[in-house]
Amino acid sequence: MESSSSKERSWFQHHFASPGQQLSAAKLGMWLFLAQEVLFFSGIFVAYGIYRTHHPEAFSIGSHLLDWKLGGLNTVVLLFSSLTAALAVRSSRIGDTRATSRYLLLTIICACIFLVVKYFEYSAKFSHGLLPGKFFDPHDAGDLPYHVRSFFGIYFVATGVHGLHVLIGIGYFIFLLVRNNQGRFSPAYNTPIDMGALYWHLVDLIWIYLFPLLYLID
Amino acid sequence: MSTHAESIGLADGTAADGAVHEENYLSAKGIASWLTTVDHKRIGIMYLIAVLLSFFAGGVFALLIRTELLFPGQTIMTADQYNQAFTLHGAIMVFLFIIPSIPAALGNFFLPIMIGAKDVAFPRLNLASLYIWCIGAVFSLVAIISGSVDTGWTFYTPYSSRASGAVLWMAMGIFILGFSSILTGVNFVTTVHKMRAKGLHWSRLPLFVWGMYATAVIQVLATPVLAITLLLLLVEKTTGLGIFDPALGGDPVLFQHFFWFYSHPAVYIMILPGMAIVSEIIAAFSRRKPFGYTYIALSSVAIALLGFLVWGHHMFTAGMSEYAVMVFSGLTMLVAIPSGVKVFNWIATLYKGSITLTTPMLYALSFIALFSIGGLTGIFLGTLSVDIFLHDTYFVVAHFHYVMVGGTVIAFIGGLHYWWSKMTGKVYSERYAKVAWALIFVGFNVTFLSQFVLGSRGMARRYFDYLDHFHTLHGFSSIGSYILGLGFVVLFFVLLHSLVKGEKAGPNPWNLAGYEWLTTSPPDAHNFATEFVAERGPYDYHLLDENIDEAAAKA
Amino acid sequence: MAHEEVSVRNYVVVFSVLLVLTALTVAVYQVHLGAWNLVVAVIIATMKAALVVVVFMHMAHEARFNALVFLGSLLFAGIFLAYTLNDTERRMEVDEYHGALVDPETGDWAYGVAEQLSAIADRESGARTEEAREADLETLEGAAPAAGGAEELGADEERADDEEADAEEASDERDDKEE
Repeated sequence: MESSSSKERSWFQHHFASPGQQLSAAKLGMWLFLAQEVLFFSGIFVAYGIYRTHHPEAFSIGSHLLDWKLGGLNTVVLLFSSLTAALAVRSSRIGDTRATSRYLLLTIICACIFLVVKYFEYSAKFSHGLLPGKFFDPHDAGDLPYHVRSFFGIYFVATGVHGLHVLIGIGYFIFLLVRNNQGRFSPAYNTPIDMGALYWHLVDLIWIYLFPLLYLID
Repeated sequence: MSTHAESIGLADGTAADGAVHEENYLSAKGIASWLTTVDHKRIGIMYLIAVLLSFFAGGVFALLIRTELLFPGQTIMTADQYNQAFTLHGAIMVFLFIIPSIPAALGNFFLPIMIGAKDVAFPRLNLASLYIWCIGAVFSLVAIISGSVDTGWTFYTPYSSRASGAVLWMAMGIFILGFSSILTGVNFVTTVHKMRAKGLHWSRLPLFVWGMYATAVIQVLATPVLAITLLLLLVEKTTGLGIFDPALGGDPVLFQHFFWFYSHPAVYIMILPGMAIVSEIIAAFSRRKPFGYTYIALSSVAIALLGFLVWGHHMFTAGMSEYAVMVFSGLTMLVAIPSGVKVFNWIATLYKGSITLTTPMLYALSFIALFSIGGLTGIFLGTLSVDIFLHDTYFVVAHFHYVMVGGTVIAFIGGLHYWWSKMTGKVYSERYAKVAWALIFVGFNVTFLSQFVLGSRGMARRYFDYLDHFHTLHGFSSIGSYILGLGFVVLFFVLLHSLVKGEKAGPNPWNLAGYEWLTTSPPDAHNFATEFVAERGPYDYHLLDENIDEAAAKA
Repeated sequence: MAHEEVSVRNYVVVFSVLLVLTALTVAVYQVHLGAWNLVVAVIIATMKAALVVVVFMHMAHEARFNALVFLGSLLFAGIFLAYTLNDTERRMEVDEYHGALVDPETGDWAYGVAEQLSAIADRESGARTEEAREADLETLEGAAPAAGGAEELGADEERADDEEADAEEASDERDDKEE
């Protein structure tokens, strides 16, 4: 790579001593960012843990009002998108730009499917009046314990914040796709794809926990 | 006093030829060159201006509060306005001023220089953090102008979940400010790990950098919890979620857990940078390697981590489980250990050092005294049985002002003086700076010592009115606050005068060994004209003195 | 790159394992495990998460400090959960008088209780039936664990009885005033 022209190395930022330093700094920065994300979501999980231990029956009833098949479908979709994201990183590392574009596109499509399924889930809940907080008005679910609304409150906050992360991920992956098609990435430099994939795996990780905790309460 | 002024003048004179180097980070002109800069020094300066403006705003509210309390009953504002005044004082001072003050302003400027780097690891992220801060500040400003945030800076539910809509703006503003803090933290941890110059291994890291590093760890790990807390509060307020509001089946104490999981570590975000600056100043003006360097460095990290285990001591009277109360009270005592390690090491550093009483040193020594009072009264308050009586009294107010103002603000101003010539290339007037210090020191103590007494006699905090027998002490406190305010005004003019009419500063006016003194004042745009290699530690005064002797011999 | 690239096949294998684990977690849901439901669900989710982190996110080849950062964040999230639960799950376990309606030493209303009672009375003033008033008192007492604690201790039964009697007395007094 030493012989490459200055244009090809335009990604190198000169406050670093070497490309290796730049890459390892980016990685550490990304892991710190992910740590931050974990603690951001931890608040939702703590609220969940406390309300579930206090009101197990309400959570069980609330969970049965969700459609675990849709949740399961979304789990599979997200896991697959994680696979394609990992493969995108792999192919960009070995310099297969076309395959990279293909995998990035697949990841974006999966993320969109996830949001579409989520949309159908949400609209079904809305039509049954299973809304957060003061809008909670379950007109055809029979007589529900009071704290079912806590379950739905936490459900909407958790999936809403997670969905927002999915949306941001879609935006970033579109950016990566455009950049990749412009030929900006090479085996020497694919840090943005690497970082994007790390972010995407974290979004997947959160969902891996949210799925059984929200949809599969006995 | 005059001897110090002379000694600076002398150093300035001898270094005059060094100041010929005209190109520096301030050379590029025009607003655009500032707004689009990714230079950590310029971002640091912009942050400095921003936090000083916030400090002014918060200070005005403080004086309004003290004026209202000058006499019993209504003095200058109604009870509702009083509630808003103390809320805004707290929220502005904590979120807009103290948290970004040292890390984002002085830290941004000096951390890369002190590790011999050209910039922080992510310069664009650094600029983004400043802009995010500005957006957050705009939201807060809207809340201030709409003028009905009266929940206290802690936003306890159900006050906040039922209060007016302006709380939404304030919470949103602080939510955004949090991300600016997180980005600074991510940047600093990465910078310290990855950007150190050749030869600068961990055991040569300046103590200021160690303190910034520990601070950054907390910023990354704690701030997101504040973000999610405020997000939940916003959802609670807009949709009546029912997580925190007891009327909706929520648990208000849960909000306190969420809030203090961030806000207690945030106390260390505020004090660790102060300790970091003081470690530098004490070593510099004792002209020796800090006693117990390793312990001072590691105690910063210990404080950062222990700080996560003690948040419940803010909630002893909130109806927590007795087990939680006992655990939190016990763990609180642990934080005293690393803090004590620091204080004793500073004092041991002074012992047999060759001490120069410059203005920064005066601030550093004040810090040790005031922080010790603030810290030890913290032990009282961490003790369960004592806290039950002193909770939410002026004793608590005095305690945390001794730590936050007597600690962080004093250290911040000390640091500002210490590095002023490096940042601006100008010398400030030692004589008048000392006048400002005297006013601030005396004013501060008059204001808050009397509050310890008030609190121990049962004066509750956040009260608009008080019984007649508290009048004398409240009077003392208010007059003290005016002296304190006057001190800051004098300080402002001292620094302003230095900017406008100050003499040019040499690169190393005090002949110190720290790495930041190796570059020009103000520094080159790339910090050092040539690539920096650390050949000695930042406190190796014996090596520095040898070099000077050699230079003198050559001359 | 410092290490050999993982082959596509290996990634697909890991993905298949993740699918199997997802199926497993759904299967476990169909079997009623009661309290173990949560434990099993979290264990399976953690296995899945570990696979994603180690293989997809390349933690296996990552600098050790980066792994420490991530695991550290999990540790602090755990502290957050554990400490908070230590409060919310164990409130009033030690101090049986906590939240009591009647001050056990003096026999007077505990602080704030009289106000609460009169607030309830005001809310439904006039049209209140005897049953409704009693129901209100029961809810108030249900909220106070003193009665529950007393049952366990046995010796404190008297105190609980006194409480009830006092509560009735007070409401009677108010009724008199209203008339």
